[in-house]
Amino acid sequence: MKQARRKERRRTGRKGQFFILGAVLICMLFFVGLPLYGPQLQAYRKDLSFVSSNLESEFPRALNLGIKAGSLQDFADFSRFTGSTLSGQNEKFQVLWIVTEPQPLGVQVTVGNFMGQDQALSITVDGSSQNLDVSDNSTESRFFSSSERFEISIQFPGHSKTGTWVRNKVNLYAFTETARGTDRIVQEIEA
Amino acid sequence: MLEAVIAGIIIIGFVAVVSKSYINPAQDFSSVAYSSLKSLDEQGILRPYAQALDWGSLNSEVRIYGKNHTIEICDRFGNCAGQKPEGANVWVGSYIISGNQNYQPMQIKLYLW
Repeated sequence: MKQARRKERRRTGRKGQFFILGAVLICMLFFVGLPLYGPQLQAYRKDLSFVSSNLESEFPRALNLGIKAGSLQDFADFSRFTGSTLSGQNEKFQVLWIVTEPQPLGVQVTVGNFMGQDQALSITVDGSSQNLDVSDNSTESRFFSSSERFEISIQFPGHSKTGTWVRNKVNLYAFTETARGTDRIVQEIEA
Repeated sequence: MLEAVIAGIIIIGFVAVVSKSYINPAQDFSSVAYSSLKSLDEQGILRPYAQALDWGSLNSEVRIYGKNHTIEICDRFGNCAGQKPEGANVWVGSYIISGNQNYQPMQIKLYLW
C-alpha cells in the first residue's frame, strides 16, 4: 500500500517537473524567435513633423535656386522630387504653390499644382480677377497689372488666402499636405 | 500542482519583461537622426558633402554617441551612395535638400542602430 502511494507520488512529481521544463522551453523558443519579428527600420510616428519642418525651410530655398537658374521648372521639379521621395517612406505629399515674379507694371503669377487632381483657382490682384484651371502635375502662368504693394487673393476648393505683397520681389505661397495613414499635417509656407 | 503554478509564473514573468522592452522603446532615435542632419545643415557641413556624394566624410561629422551610424545619400534619379545597414531595430531619420549653390535635390538618410 505504502509502496503504491510512493510510486504514485514519484509519477505525479515527474509530471510537475515537465510543466516547469515546458515553460522554460516556451520562453527559450520565444526569445530565440524575437529578433525575427523585430522591426527592420524604425521611424517614429512624429517624423511627419520633421518632414514638415524640413520642407518649410527647403521650399523657399528651392525657389531661390530655381530663380537663379532662370526658370520655375526646377522648383516644379523639386515639388515632384519631394512627392516621390516621401511616397517611398509611405507618406503622401501634396502641394499647390503660387509664385509672383516682378514684371514692368505688374507681376507674373505662376501656379504649380501637385495636389493629385486638377485645380480650379481664382486669383485676384488689386481687384482684377482671373480664373485658372491648372492640371495636376503642371504649372500655369498669368500676367496681372499691379501697384508696388498689391493686394492678392487666392481661392481654390476648400481654401482661400489673402495678403499684401510687394511687386519688386519674388513672393511664394505654398499650401502643403503631408499624410501617413491617419496622421496628417497641413502647412502654409510663405516667403 | 505547485510545479504548474511555478511554470505559469515563469511564462507570465518572461512575457512581462519582454513586452515592456519591445512595446515601449526607450527613446525616439529617428528624431535624434533628423536633429543631427538639421544641425549639420545649419553648420554648413551637410550640403557640400551631399552634393559630392561623400557619405563617408558626412558620416564622420555625425556626433551621436552610444549608437552606430551610417549615411546614405540619394539623388533625384534614385541613385544612392552610402550604406544601408541590414538587421532589426535600425532607426532612420531623413532630410531633403534642394541643392547647395545649384539645384540638385537629394535625400540624406542617417541610420542609427
